[in-house]
Amino acid sequence: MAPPDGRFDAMDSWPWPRLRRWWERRLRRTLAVAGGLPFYRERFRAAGFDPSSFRKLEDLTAVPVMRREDVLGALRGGGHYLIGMERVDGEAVLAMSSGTEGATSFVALPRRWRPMERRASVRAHWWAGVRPGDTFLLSAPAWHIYALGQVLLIEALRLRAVVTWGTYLPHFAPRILHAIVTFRPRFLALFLPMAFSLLEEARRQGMRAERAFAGVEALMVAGAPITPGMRERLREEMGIGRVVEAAGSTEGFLATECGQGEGLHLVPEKSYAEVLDPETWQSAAPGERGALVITNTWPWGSLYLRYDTGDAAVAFPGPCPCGRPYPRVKLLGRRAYRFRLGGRDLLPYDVQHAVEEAVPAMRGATLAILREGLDRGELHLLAQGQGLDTAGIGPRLQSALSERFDVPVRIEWGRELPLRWKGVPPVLERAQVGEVR
Amino acid sequence: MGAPGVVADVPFYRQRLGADGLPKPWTLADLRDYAGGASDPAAGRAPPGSRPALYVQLEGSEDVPVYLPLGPMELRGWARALAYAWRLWGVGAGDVVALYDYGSSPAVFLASGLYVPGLGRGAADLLRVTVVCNDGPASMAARMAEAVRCCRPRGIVLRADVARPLVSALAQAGVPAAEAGVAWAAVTTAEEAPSPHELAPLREALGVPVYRTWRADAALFLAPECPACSLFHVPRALYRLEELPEGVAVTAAFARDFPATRYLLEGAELAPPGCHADPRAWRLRP
Repeated sequence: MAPPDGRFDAMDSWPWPRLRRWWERRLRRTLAVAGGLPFYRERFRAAGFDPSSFRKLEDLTAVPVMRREDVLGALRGGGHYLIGMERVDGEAVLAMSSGTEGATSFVALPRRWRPMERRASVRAHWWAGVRPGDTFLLSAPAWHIYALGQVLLIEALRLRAVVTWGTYLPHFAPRILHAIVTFRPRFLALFLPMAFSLLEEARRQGMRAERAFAGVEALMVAGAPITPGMRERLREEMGIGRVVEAAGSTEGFLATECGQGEGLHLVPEKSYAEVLDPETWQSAAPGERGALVITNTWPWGSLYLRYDTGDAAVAFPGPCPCGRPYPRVKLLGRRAYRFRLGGRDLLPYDVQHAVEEAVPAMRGATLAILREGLDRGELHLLAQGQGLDTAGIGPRLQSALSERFDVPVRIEWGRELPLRWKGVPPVLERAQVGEVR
Repeated sequence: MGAPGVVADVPFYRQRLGADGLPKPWTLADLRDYAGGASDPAAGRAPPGSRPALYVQLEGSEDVPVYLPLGPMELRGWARALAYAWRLWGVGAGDVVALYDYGSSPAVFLASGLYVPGLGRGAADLLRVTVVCNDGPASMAARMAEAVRCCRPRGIVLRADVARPLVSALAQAGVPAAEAGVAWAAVTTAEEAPSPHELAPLREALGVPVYRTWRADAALFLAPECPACSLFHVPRALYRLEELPEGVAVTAAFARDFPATRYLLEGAELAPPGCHADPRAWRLRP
């Protein structure tokens, strides 16, 4: 059997200059196509950018950064999902993107988008450990970009597929767990919060998690940034050797970890990505937090060029020890959830990480931060406490967090937190708490 | 009736074979009983030695899920049934159809070759239609209202239990469905057809005709309510119906590798063909 972090093809061993030239060729073509589309023609003209002037990756800085508001503005203005940034040739599948704010945009995926997506999806999953002959669980088909790519993957590698009924919500966990136990997949791809719902479901059924996940060698998680504590817990409790993080967006970002587990490699077919300072749109230094900005490298479908995905990310310096030439990033969550506390700019990821370091029993616990607490300069945590010794943990956690962030800390246990389409929002207002599905 | 040789090899049917060499008609309860006692994930529906490329968990809240083994032949035939439904409701090339159900529902996954592996061409591919799909929970209704506003679908296919949230979301968003170009909505429910009076409030709220589907997923059966005659049309090219003392049984003619033979459509009555919308179609009255 190939190693779980095995390379997919010769491209995975290319030297950086070769990959760079490949990207530059693809970007030149995509920018040329975009220059003929109404949405970009106007933007390029306003910015004084001529697509034919593009030669090097550095030339991308001349392309204006596009924000979600620009897309939503065009959508509002035109009142139609086609906003002039699409290259389609007939019918398409439309994927919806809701961002964090809930306003919906539409990404057109025509037939000629599929060959690129197929190769990208196979590459990403190959890095994560999937191999021909595997069984693949599709636990929320059709409505999101991962599922579409996974269908192409399953067909390309002739995998056996199992579709479970329902979607990612916790109350479907029993059905997904049943499929895992029945079909014993070697590779598993899950929405990260669902991985913890499955652990909880196994516990509820009186099944040892190791038994429930027996045979699973690699778990690929996506949809939310994984903390080191979460990864440890999944490994330990499920008994899985390798937990691989992947991240993506409907607009065309895709990145997956290699066997090193030190950042997610960009999957080159879909987009080139930059991490930029969101104030100046200059490159953030490696290791510094910035905005993830993507540029699609395939000229079919809705084209997102220098698009600020709304994610906070860090770029990793230097080449990866695995030898792949693709740059690495780590996503840390949506920038819309940033807050200032104790004189520092933070993300919910930082709090989750601190909680897990202070109390390992809370690795992967569902948490939210109360907005009103932040307004008062305190960290007011809402935490689901099922299965935890909250009386014992509470004071220890409070003291550790207070010391870490240098602010007053309050912890509210046991509340069932409101679910949204991507799990529990990490920052909530009091009025939203109790809006239980 | 289908391919008797193959059917006789299939464990679930083998134990139901009568003196005439045909399996006794069966219901979902029979399949669930069999699945409960079998260690086979295909619940006895796969011929020995076959390797189903796809298993689909049947919808339902039962403790023990039942899986449906499927191959490309089954998927493609079933998708033609969905395309038949859309066509009967007036969908044609260039239209948009919006889906609001879990992606694990055949009313969704048969819509596009991108939705389920092995299908190749779904209803939207066959009819050259653009399709947009929303996840199934009621909490996603506002997103669906945006899809109606911006995609201007000719039709909306939705699960019965999200009808009310969708109506509220459309009202809240100020999107009158008919003014957004919606010509019809279709409500889909596993293993049965909703009653017409249940749909009256939806029809009134949306201001467009609301059609029903009759689904029996275990039998790969999907039949649309006809706008002209209000009966359920069953295309002869895809299904065979038999009037038996127990009721009407359906066999999916396209299910050659994983047969779906003689499933009893509970409460169904066969009506004579002759609707002008498709004079040859079988017609069912629930």
